Amino acid sequence: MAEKAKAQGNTLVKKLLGSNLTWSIVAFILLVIVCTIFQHDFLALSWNTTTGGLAGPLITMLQESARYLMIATGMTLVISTAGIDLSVGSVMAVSGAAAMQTLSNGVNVWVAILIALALGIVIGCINGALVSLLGLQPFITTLIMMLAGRGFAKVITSGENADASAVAGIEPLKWFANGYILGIPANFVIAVVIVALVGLLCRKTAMGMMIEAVGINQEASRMTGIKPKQILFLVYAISGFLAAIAGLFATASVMRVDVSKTGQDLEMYAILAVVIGGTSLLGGKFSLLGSSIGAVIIAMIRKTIITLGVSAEATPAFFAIVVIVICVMQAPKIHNLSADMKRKRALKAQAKAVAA
Amino acid sequence: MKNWKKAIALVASAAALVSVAACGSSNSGSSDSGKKVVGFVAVGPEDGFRTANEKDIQQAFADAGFDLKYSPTQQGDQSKQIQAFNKFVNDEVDAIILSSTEDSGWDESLKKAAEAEIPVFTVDRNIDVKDSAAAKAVVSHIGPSNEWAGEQAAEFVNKNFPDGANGFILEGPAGLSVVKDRGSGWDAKVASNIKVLDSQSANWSTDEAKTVTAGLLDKFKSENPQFIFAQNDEMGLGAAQAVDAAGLKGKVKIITIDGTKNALQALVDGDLSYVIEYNPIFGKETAQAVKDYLDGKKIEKNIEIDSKTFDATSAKEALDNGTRAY
Repeated sequence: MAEKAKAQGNTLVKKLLGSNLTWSIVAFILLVIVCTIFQHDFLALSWNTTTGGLAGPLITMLQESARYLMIATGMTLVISTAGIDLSVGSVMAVSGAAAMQTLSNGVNVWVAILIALALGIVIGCINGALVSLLGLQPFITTLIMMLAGRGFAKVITSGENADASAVAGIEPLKWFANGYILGIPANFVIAVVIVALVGLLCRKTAMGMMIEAVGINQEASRMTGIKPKQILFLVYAISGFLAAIAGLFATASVMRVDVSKTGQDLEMYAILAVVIGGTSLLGGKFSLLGSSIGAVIIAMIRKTIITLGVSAEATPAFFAIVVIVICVMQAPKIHNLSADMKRKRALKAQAKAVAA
Repeated sequence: MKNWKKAIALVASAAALVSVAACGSSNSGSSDSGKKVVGFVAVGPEDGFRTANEKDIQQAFADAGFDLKYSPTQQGDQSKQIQAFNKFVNDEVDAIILSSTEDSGWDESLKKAAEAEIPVFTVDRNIDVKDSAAAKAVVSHIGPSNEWAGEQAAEFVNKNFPDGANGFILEGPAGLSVVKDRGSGWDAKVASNIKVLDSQSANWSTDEAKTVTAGLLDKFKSENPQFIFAQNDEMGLGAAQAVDAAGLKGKVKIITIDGTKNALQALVDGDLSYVIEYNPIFGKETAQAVKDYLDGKKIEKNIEIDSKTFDATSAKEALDNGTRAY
């Protein structure tokens, strides 16, 4: 009886050790510990009366993670169809530029938000149509959209950095990025709700399964009655929509769009978050929870850089090293290392015994 | 396999032919109208500053009776600038204006210009030339001084906190000459009782500056930070929002460099404390320098353009005047 329980416990431990999620969470906790060593009150939370919410390093980290959550979720769906969406950063710039420019032209804030989101969906749909209907390579299609998108953002603001901070009636949009719900950053809450909705859509209906089937083998999935073209179109459209929300978060936080900087390099962060979350770039299997944790880890790494005071020159290298360490921690080969060594030792002992 | 070789040989010979042809037709030194031709290797529309700067240079050269060939790059791509530069050398223009995206990597191109005896005028951002043969090509540098701007920031802090203070510096991306010069200007003048707790890059971006400043304010809460020196306006505006959210508005003085309209407005509103202009309007001076040099007059190696500094009152005046181009 006891042995059985022990065996069960062992398999549970093994399962935990083998899971990407566990290692992501371990990495997150390690980063928090490092930060706390450098800044003793890193975990401290206080109530900020000017903003009406909690304040502290962790809170600003969550606030920043909202945009990564959005693009990482879209990227997860796209990657699990064996595609990739390199245009998310540029879509952020487009939606942010559209919102800020229309606002400073006196458009109602809700209309501005709708225009921004609609533009995101339109770009996503163009990506989707090119990939699904014309069968173009996702990498090339979205790479072109990445370049074109930034150009388009510049056209919208005529090359300037549009500023809407002085416009009246922008409170709702400002609240999305800077407000609080029960003391927790509103943008983080909204992002989590959206991720949860996408998760429900994928896992409570057959959609998640269909996406994975398309990612594994498009032709086979078609033969089982799935419509791969529709699925492909859908995931790119969703990705564009979510990137537009991320763009609103990023620009509304300062009510200003920086057409050449907003969303810059964020497609890479999104891909990193997805990989840290354990979704294979070859497609087929995805974990939204994993990507979400990955997104929070990306925000946490950025926070660590500020907390440790890593110098500007060393920032990209530091970022890369942390990501690689996390990936190594997750690699199955590393987990099997001890078992491998045991087996080799046993073989050696056996060889010795035979020789003797 | 053989076909491949043939194809490559064909392409190579075709390329050689084209380049020979290009050499043949490259005697457009003085255009038909007799105007002097000046090549402008530019950065292209990047922000309000750049747009104002390059429009002004184009206008001034047109007014001075030059034929200015404008060649912008994209996304700060230096290789496109080098291509444009080499093309101007091949075309044997009368002079080249260079507004470089990076401070190094120009030696080879400048050597060619020196051989062709084409004078090069660097504007706005200075360049770092190692080779003495290449350095000969550069006649003069025209632009406002970034070091001066950094010095002004330090002197403002010295004056406002005679008893010393703690604060942060928000830098631009590492490696740019602007960042180095603004930083060294600050270092040269800042008083010994002014302590910089941390200086971090916020990548010239408003949004990143807000995040970085929020982090720094959290980290150094106990050290009572009293000033933030942001190396450009965009970052200063982001820092101001973080300071506001932390409930420290008015308690932390924010100093920025550039002098865009948005920053002056923020100065009037009390979000910023001091703005040092980095004057983009020096087309006239540039055109004059080129003209003087081509007429055989001696010109200075370094022509420094005057900039202003703004506090809340002078910012309001400047905005009310409505004459600012950027």
